[in-house]
Amino acid sequence: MDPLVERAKRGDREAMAELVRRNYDAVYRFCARRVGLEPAKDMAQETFLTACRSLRRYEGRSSFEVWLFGIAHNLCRRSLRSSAPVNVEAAWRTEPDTEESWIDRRLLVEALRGLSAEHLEAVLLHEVEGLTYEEAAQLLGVPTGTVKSRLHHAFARLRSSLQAQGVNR
Amino acid sequence: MNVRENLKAYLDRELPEDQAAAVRQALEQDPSLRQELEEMRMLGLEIRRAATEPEPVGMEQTIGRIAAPRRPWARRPLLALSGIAALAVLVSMVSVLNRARGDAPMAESAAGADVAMKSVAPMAESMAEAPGHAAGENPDYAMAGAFPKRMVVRTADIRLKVDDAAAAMQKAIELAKSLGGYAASSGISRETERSTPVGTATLRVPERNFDAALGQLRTFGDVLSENSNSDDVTLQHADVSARLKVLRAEEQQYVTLLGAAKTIGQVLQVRERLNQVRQEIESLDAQRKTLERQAALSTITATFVQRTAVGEPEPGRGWASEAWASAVNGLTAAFRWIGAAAIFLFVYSPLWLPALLLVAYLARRFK
Repeated sequence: MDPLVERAKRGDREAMAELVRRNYDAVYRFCARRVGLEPAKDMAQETFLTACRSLRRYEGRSSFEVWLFGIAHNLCRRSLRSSAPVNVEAAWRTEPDTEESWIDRRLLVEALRGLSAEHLEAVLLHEVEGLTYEEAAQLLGVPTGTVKSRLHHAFARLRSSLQAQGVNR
Repeated sequence: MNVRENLKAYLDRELPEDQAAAVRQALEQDPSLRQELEEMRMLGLEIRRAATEPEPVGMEQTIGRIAAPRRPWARRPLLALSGIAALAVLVSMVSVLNRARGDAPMAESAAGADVAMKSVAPMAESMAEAPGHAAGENPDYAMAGAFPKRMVVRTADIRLKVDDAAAAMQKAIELAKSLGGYAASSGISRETERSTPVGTATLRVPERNFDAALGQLRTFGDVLSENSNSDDVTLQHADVSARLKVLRAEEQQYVTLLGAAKTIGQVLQVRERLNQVRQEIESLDAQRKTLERQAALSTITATFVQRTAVGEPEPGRGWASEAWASAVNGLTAAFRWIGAAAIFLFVYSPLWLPALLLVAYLARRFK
């Protein structure tokens, strides 16, 4: 386990502050992509406060960042359950890229909107947050095979949606 | 194994080596599979590029809050609420315990029987209050409906230490009258000339006022002992009623036969049998009415022992035996109180135990 996390577990506030500095950006973006920019600040703050309170129970079975994502994931899910559905615009850019794109960005976002919540979450966790299948499975509380299957079906669905709209390489 | 299903995992280097080798082999042989793999790779890239990268805000605020000194209860509203809930449960338990002790300070042993009696009391009340049927004259209530109504005969003995035995006895008689009952007997006696007087009153009160009467009597003085009893006579009453019904039908048949008798011998024979049946009917009817009266009017035997006046030595008892009795009584009362508290704690455990566990859980979690 990271010595900094060990120190934070022992109640070292400075170590915890350092952990916030190291992970805040990733956690903030994780929240922003799920609940939107406006509530992301509060959600990120709540994630770290919850982490601070629950740190004693962290056993290092997953990386600290994945553990934080797990807390953020639960908070976001709880928040979305009691408010409006996820704002896809918060997760995706709709304006065209300056670099040459293979796919029309708007059509891609449209196809992503067509995914189920479970498939979209698997895509976000693996493709965007960069989690491995195992880490994503730990965070979602499902077997690794389920993450693999969700990603396979999500990509098949995206490809068929894009092909239906005439997007070919 | 479906190679296509493993394509995405192969692309993400998430396949075990044997499965990855199989996919590699399939890719070499199938150009369409290679095309699909390339499309997936590009799609993944486009998804990553399409994802927003918002500029984080609020980090310093978060650090500030984490570094701020802890205010445990303000920061943990759930824990605070759980604590308050647990406290409320505890306070209500103590208040219930105190009230129960106030109601029956010396009768914890009878508490179980008392509860059982209370459960049948509403039915007994409905029996005693049936319209048109005064106490003791209610012929039909026992068999109304598919099941007989419960009939419970309730009795109690209570012994109290009072300042004035005669006055207390008079008060008890008045109490019985005010509750719709009467005093079946009363009297005052002394064991010896020097003994303090002891008054005894047998009170009959409507079953529905049984608890009220006992409760009032307890306030007359210090309760020395109390015993209550309930006897369920439902089956006995139903049995008597059924036998009555059969005998009445039989009586009717003999009356018909008597009318049809042609000879004196026949008349005498039938009349003799009719008389026997009628005697049995009268006996059973008396039994039934007694049961109904007993169930409708409960019996409380109250004994009032007059206190010895201050400074006046109690006959036959020295200071040492007095102290001994007092100490034993105190110890017994203490044990009884502890026993009652344990019973209350156990009975109320579905209320306080989850609250306590929740508090313990939250305390451990937020520690």
